[in-house]
Amino acid sequence: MKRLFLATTVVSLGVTAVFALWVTPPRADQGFDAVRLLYLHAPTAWIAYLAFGVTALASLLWLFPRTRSATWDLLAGASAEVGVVFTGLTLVLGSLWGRPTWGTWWEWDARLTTTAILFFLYLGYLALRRTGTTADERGKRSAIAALIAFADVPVSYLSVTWWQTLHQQGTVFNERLSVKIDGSMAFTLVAAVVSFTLLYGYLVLERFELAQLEEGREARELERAIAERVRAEHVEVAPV
Amino acid sequence: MSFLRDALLVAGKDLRIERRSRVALQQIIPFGGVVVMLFAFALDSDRTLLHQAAPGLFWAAVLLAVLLAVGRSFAIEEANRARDGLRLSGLDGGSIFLGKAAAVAVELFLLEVIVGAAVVVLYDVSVRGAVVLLCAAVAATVGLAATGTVYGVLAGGLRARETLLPLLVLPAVTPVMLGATRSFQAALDGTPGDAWPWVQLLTAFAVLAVAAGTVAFGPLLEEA
Amino acid sequence: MSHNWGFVTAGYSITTAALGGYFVWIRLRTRHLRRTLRDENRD
Repeated sequence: MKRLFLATTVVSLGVTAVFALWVTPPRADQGFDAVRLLYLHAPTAWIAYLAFGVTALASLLWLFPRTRSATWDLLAGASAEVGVVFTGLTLVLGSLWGRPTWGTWWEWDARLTTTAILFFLYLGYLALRRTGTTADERGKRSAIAALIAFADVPVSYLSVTWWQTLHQQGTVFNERLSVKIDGSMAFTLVAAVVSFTLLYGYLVLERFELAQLEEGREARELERAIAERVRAEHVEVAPV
Repeated sequence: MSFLRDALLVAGKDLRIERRSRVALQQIIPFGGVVVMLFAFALDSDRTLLHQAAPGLFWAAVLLAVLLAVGRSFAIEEANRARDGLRLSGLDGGSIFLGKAAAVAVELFLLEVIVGAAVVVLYDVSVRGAVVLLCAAVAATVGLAATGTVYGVLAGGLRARETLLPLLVLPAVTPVMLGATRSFQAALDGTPGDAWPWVQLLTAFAVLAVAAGTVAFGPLLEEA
Repeated sequence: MSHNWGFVTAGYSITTAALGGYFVWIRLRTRHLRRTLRDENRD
């Protein structure tokens, strides 16, 4: 089942790459062939938002007593880590696209700035998760941190509409809800979003299973340490 | 009403400890002064540049001091397991939060006055638009103290909390840095009208931070 | 280069390297942990 998932993801990424690199036309107003970066930049940004949304949702489910389960905590962590990878990629790809079209690697524009903040907020979240405390304590603290950090996601998303900035408005979901591109470009963008969403799902699944393994090993180590301690105390107690 | 009285009680406790230990007075405020001096070295004591950058440098110094003030605010709870005492005191989590944040805010105000005076003298700034400056400073300080206090308890008691706190706090308070710098700039440039949208942003941030902290502090203080 | 293919190549390479590297890291670590757990079970 997982194999099939992976195969589908790889095939759809491959098809997207072919369309993005060879089928779609270059655009003079978007840096000629540099416009091909759109098919990576926009989907990675969308996945970053999705990933942090999943983290926030899982955190809420953990905080709500009726649905509290270790699964949500681990899912939140897995999704945030994948999200950080995608946010980092979004920034790098945007920078690579900005250089030929805007003439600069970085601009202190609202969208770029809020995305960079997002990256650091979730790096902090991941650091908070690794501080080695009990699973419950980690779940509670990281869930609250995730909800606070998520406040930046809508700000970042809407920043291009709120402030008139250098960054262009949404290609698909803009104010007039009119798709600004057509034909093969629109198809490629949709294909890219679909295949990156599949990739996101697959990575989160793998990362979640890894997190379960890590958690299991920690629990075993704790058990063994307690067992050793008990044995040692028996030895000490025996002569008395 | 007892909610606010409890908050005052906690704030009084923290400020009393600071008054007696003098850590804020003898370490955090001099630290702010050193930072102000370092910026002058970094910009090669170019008066015009320093003059232009003064609002940003001032708030950068305050932001760094926030980390120390918050770290200190929770260090006093770690000693002698005071955190347990606070938890068992029966005070509402929200009022403990308000108290601790208020104490941090008072310390920050003191620091801002002294560091601000240093900036005026050393960076050759002429003060204009005092009302705007005051409103912006109040809103920014409340926002900084509240955010810092939330993250202070979030990182409290963890290993590596000293290094974790700056990573958590600094990205979260970037809106304050932006708003406070812009409104100070507008006031000092003699265009206070441009400052009000930023003061509104600062106020909104402060209200949200206080609300979030009041709700989240109780559960965070409890042991899971 | 006038069509900026250099930027495109860099972007696609970095994306492939980052996501591929992340995927391989997860896989390797998972396998390592599975093996350790199996060895511990045998004890």
